[in-house]
Amino acid sequence: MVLTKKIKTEISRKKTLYLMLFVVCVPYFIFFLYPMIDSLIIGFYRWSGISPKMDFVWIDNYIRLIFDEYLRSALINTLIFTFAAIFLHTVIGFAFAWLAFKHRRTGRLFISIVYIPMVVSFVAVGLMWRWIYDPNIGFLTQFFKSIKLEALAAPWLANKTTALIGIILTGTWYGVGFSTIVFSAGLRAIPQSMFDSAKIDGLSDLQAIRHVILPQLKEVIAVIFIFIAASSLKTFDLIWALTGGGPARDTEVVSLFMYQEAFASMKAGYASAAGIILFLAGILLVVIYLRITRVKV
Amino acid sequence: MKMTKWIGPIVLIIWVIFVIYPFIWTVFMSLKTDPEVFTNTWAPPTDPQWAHYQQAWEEGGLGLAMTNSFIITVSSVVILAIISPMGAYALSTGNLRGKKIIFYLLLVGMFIAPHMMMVPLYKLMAQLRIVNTFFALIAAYVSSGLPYCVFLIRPAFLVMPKSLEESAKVDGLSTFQIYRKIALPLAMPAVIVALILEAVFIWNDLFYPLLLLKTESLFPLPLRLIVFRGTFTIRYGLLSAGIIISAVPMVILYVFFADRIRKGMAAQLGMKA
Repeated sequence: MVLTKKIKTEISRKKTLYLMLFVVCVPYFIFFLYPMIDSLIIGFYRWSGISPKMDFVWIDNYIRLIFDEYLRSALINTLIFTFAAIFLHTVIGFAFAWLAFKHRRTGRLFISIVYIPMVVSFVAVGLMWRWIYDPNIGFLTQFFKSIKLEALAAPWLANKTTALIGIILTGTWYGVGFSTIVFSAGLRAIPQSMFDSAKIDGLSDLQAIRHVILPQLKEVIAVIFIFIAASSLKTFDLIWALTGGGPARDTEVVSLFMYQEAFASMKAGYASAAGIILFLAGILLVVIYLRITRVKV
Repeated sequence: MKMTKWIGPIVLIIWVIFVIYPFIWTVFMSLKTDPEVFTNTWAPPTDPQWAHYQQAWEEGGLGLAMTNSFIITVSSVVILAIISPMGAYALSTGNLRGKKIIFYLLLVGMFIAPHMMMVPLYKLMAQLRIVNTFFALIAAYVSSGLPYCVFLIRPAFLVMPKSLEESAKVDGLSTFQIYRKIALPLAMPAVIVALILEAVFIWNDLFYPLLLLKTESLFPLPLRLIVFRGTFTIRYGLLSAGIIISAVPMVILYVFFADRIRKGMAAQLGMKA
């Protein structure tokens, strides 16, 4: 009797848990997973996005994408943007975290300020920096003019290379607080004895970082890499507000390319096909993430 | 030796100025007349135009946009607050069948750029006849925010002592009561962090409103600012006032929850457990 009662409560327990899981799965499956799969399917159709007419064109869209110069440029920009973000955010973020860790008093002020841009919208940030880079009113260009670096006082966003640099600079200004905070949490988790023994061994700061600190932070660094890569792939708002993908279509990334193709050129099927790049990149990140963290389900 | 001691703090201070000055500069700009924007780049305004804020709020429609942003953000966050801890709890306890697959599917949602599905999402919302309504936005925010919330909250349930649940069971509490009365209160700090991060994201997002809204009177702040720029290309004072107005609520939120937001950021990466 006792046993059957136990089994009964276990069954009702599972029922409740399944129900709780179900509540989460319904919106997620309908509004996330279903459109995700659907976008790979729509990629096989020629479709304007509005007319009911959808023509199945096999892999025509995917093949045309390979030869699309705009997509190639968008893909290269995405890669430049992602790798620049990974590199700059990790290196600068670690340097800041280290300095803030060594100089506690300035460090505390620093940590509380450096994160502020991240609570402001990309749109506000983008519009602000649009003016900062403006040669007529911007303080950055005025600053270069005043120190006689006329070449840098040019309209940054009007040229492909400088516009990309501008996007990366604004992105770093915006996002470096994230890695700084994560690194400083990581640094504080290292036992004090390790710093002490490094000191006793007579290691300089740089040696201590290389041989003692960084090995301790290996996993943190790896996870920061993935998160910055993921958030770089999701960049849309910043570029939309800062350059709008211009000059011409020179600073588009894959997501902006898709938006232009789908809603400006009315090639919804074609745009969807390009989504496969973001899909594969995302899956790759999931796999790397599982590898690194060996997360237990 | 003296020199190197000062280099560190100086570097930090320079970056602090670099972070803050653009905001101050924009505040200055919002108070300048449009001609002064061109003649006076660095300094504070000579004759502050406070009326710009009122104009941006009324003519620029920022007051309305702020209400819209508020409705969208609060509705989405409330739904997330109710359902995501449930999912996190179910995924952290009990050996349910299919738990693994759902775990992986949610992980996909964290790393895939939701932009890849802009076309089918629009199509789906059109089929449901909710394009150009807040429902479409809320559905998008809830579904894309769920993975983050679940993964941020789950570790809080994982570290909970099993004995606590056992004794509650002995006391005759049902599973849902155990969740509601014992587990959830203990996980509350993690839940709040997750919701704050989500609120910041939703408040600031441009992409989904751009995709799903058509009527200007429904636009939330970021989209409103974009339209605003189009309408008032040369009206620097008004637009910068708009930028400041849109940023203020989240900066205030940050001032109050700075520690939690920062801890949440770090927790995002420590979510292995």
